[in-house]
Amino acid sequence: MGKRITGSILILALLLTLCSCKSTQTEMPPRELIIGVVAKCANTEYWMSVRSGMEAAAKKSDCRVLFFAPNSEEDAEAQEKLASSLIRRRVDVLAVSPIDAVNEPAYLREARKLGIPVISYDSAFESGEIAYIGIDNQLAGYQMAANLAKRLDYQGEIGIVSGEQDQMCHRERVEGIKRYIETVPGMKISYIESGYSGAKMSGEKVSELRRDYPGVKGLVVTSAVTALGIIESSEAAGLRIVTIDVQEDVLYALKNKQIIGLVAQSGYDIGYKTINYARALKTGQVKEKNVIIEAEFLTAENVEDYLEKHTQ
Amino acid sequence: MRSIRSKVLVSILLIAVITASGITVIFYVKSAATIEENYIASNQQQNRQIIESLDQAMQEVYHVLVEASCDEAIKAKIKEYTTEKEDKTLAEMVGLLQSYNERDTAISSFHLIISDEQVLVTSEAYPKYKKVIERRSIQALIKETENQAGPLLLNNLISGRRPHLAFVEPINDNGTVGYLCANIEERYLYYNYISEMRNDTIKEVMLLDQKNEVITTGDDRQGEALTKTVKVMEGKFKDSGAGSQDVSIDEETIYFYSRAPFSRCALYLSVDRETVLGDLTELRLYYAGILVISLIVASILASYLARLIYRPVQNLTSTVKHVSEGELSTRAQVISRDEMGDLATEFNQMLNQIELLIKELIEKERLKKDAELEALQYQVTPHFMYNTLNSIKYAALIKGERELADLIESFVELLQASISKKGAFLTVSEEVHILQNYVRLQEFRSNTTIKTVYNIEPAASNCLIPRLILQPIVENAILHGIDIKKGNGLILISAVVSGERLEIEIKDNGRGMSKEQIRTLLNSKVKKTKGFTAVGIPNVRDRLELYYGEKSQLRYVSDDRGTTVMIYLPAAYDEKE
Repeated sequence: MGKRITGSILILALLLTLCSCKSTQTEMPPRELIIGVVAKCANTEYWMSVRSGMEAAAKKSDCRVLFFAPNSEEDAEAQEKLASSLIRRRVDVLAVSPIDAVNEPAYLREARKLGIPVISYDSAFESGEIAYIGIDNQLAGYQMAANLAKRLDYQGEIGIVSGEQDQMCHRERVEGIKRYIETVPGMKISYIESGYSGAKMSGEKVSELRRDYPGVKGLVVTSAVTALGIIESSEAAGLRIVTIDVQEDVLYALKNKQIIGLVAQSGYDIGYKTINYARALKTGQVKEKNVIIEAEFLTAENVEDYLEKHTQ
Repeated sequence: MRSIRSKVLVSILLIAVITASGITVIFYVKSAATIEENYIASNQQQNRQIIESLDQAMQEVYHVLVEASCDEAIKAKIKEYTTEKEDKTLAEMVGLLQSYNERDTAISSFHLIISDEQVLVTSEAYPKYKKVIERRSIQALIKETENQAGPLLLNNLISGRRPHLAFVEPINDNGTVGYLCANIEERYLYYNYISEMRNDTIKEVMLLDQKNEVITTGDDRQGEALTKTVKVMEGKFKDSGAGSQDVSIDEETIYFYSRAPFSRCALYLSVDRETVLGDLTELRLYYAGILVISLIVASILASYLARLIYRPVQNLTSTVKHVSEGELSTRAQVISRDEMGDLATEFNQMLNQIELLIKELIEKERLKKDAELEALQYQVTPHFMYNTLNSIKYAALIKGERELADLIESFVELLQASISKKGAFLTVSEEVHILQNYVRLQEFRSNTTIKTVYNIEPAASNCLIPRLILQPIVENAILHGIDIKKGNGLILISAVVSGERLEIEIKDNGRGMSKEQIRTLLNSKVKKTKGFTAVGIPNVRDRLELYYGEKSQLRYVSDDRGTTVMIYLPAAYDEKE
C-alpha cells in the first residue's frame, strides 16, 4: 500500500514536471500582407489623412503598407517609377491614385504579368477596368455647382479652377459641374482653368482672371489647396467659392464664410477603406468592384454638426 | 521503522520533499522558459525596430533617387553633354547630384552613368567623373539591375572596391539616356544598424540583401565561414518572405531572422542559449536555497506534528502496558478530542467494565464459598450421629417399635441428605425421597396426616437440581400454609421437563399469602441456618441465582385457596452442565 502511494506521488511529480516543460519548437508566424500604395502626393493635409487612414486600417488587420508618393501631383513619371518598383518587389496588392489616368502605365502591364492585383483610390483610371475606391466625383462636381448656383440665385457666370484633366477625379468633377450648369438657363461657365492639382494659384493669376472675366461671381475649385490659395488673395474678394476635400484650414474657412460650400471628401475614410478593400481582394471577400464613399456637402450652417460628429 | 512516530515523520518528510522538489523544478523550468521567451520577444522587438528603421532609410533613399531620376535639369544636362560633350556640363551635373546627395545622409554618393557616352558622373569630391567606363561593366550593371528592385550589392565602377549596396533607376527622356545609382556604404549600415548589436550573447550577426548576399557582418568572418553561416540561415528560414520575422531554436542556439518588406534586406543573428540562460545560475542558487529552507522548515514541522500525533498513541500504549501488567486501576489520559481521544475514552470505559465484572465475580465466589462452608457445618461428626441414631433405630426394632424405627430411619436419611459430601446436586427423585422423609417426620411431630401427592414425570425424575431446594418450600407450606390441626392439608409436588427447562411446582391448599408477605419473603436476606427449619426461602432464591443466574426463576402465586410455588431452571442431567 505504502509503496503504491509513494509510486503514485512520484509519477504525479514527474507528470507535473513534464507538463511544465514547454517545447522549444517555435511556430512560424503567418506572413503579413504587404500592400504597396502610391499616392499623388504626400505633403498636403488631404494626403496625410489618406495615409493615416491606411496606416490605421493596416494596423487593425495586420497588413503592411509601403506608402510612396512623388513630390507633386503633376509628377506622373515619378509615380509610375514608384509603382513599378513596388510591382517588382512583388507586393500583394498595389493601390494607386493615378496622376495619369488616361494612358495605361507600364506598371499595370507588369502587374498583370505577375498576377498582382491593382486597385485605384481617390481617383480612377479612365478605362474603368481597375477597381475604384473613393467618392463619386461627378456627383461632387454636380453638388458644388448646384450649391453655388443657389447662392447666385441661379443667375450669372461662374469659373472653374481644376486640377490636371489627366486626373479622373478632376475631370469628373468638371463634368459634373458642366452637367448641372447646362440645366440652368441663366448661368454659364466662363472659364475652366486647369492644372491646379493640389497647387496654389498665384495672386497675379487670380487678378488676371478677375480682370478678364469681370462677370464671374462664383468659383468652383476642384482642390481645397487651390481654393485656400485663392481666398488668401485680396483679388478674390466678393467671389463665392465652393470646393472639395476635408482639411482643417478649409473647414475653418467655411466657418468663417470665406468659402460657401465644401464637398466633405474624407481622405482618412478613403485610405481606410482602400486597405480594407485590398485585404478583402486577397482573401476573396470582395463583393463589388467599386466602393463609392458618400460625401456630405458642408456649408457654414452644418459644418459644426459635421465637426462634432467626426471629432467624437 | 517500527514506530508509528517514525512512520508519520518519514511520510510527512517524503511528501514535503516530493512536493518541494516538484514545485522547485516546475518553477525553475517555467522561469527558464519565461526568461528565454522574454529574451526572444525582446530581441524580436529590437530586430523589428532595426529592420524597420533600415527599411525606412532605404525607402527614403529610393524616394530621393526616383526624384533625381525624374529631374528635368539632369535630363537636360545629359542631353547637353551628349550633344556638346563638354566637361563643364559634367561639372554642372556633379553639382545637381551633390544637391540630391545632401538630401539623405544614408546616401554616400550618386553615380550617374551616361551609357552611350561611357561616362560616369559622381556626387563625390573626387573623382567627380570618369570617362571611358568599360562598356562591358555598364552592360553587366544594366543586366544585373534590369527588372530587379533594389537595393542590390553592386561593384563600384570607379574604384573597383568591394561591392556596396545601391539602388539603380533608369533616366528616361524619350528612351533611357542614363542610369542613376544611389550608393549606400557598408560602413554606414554597419555603424547604424549592426555595431550596436554586438555583445557577448550574440554569436553571429549579419545584414544580407534580397539575394542573401552578405552586406555587412558583426565580426571579421569571411569566405567559407560566412558562406556556411548563410547556408545555415537559408536552411532554417527558407520559407520566410519579405516582411517576415522568424525565430528558430535548436539545442544550443536561438536564431533570429527578420526581412524588410521594402528593401527585402535581412537581419540574421544567432545567440548561444547557454549565454541567454546565464542569468539562471543565480536563479538556480536561489531556488536551491528556497528548497533547502523549505526542507528544514518541513523537517521541524514534521517532527512537531509527528510528536503531536504520536503523544495520544504513546499515552494509550503506556496505559495498555500497565493494565497488562495487572494495574487495572490505571486509566488512559484523554488528550485530544479526535479518534484517539475517543479510543482512550472507550478504553477507560472498558477497564471500568472489566473492574466491575471482576468485583462481581469475586463477590459471587465469596458467596459460593460461604454456602459451601455453611453446608460443611452440617457435616460435623456425622458418623457419630448416624451410628447413634442407627443404634436407637435397632433398639426400637428389638423392642418391637417398628414405627419409631422407621421414623428414626427417615430422620437419618434426611440428615445424610443435608450433610452429604456427594455434591451440591441431587436428582429430582432423590430430592423427592428427602421430601417424603421430611413430611413423614413432620406428620410424626404434629401427630397428623399431611396428604402429599407427587407427580414427577419420568423425564424430570433424573434431572439434577441443587440439594435441598424443595424442602424449604414444603417446610414453608407445612409450617405457614396448611392448617395441620384440621388434618385436611394437601401438598401437590409436580415436575415436568418443558423443552430444555425443568418446571417444578409445589402447591398447597393452605391459607395463602398476601402480596406483601411474598415480597418480604423473596427479598429478605439469608439467615444463618439453625437446622432444617431455618434454611429458608431466601437461601433457595440465592442458590438458584448463584447456580443458574437469570436462567432460573422462583415464583409465588397465592390466594386464599392456597399457595403455588414455581421453580424454573435448566433441565440438566450432568453436574458439568
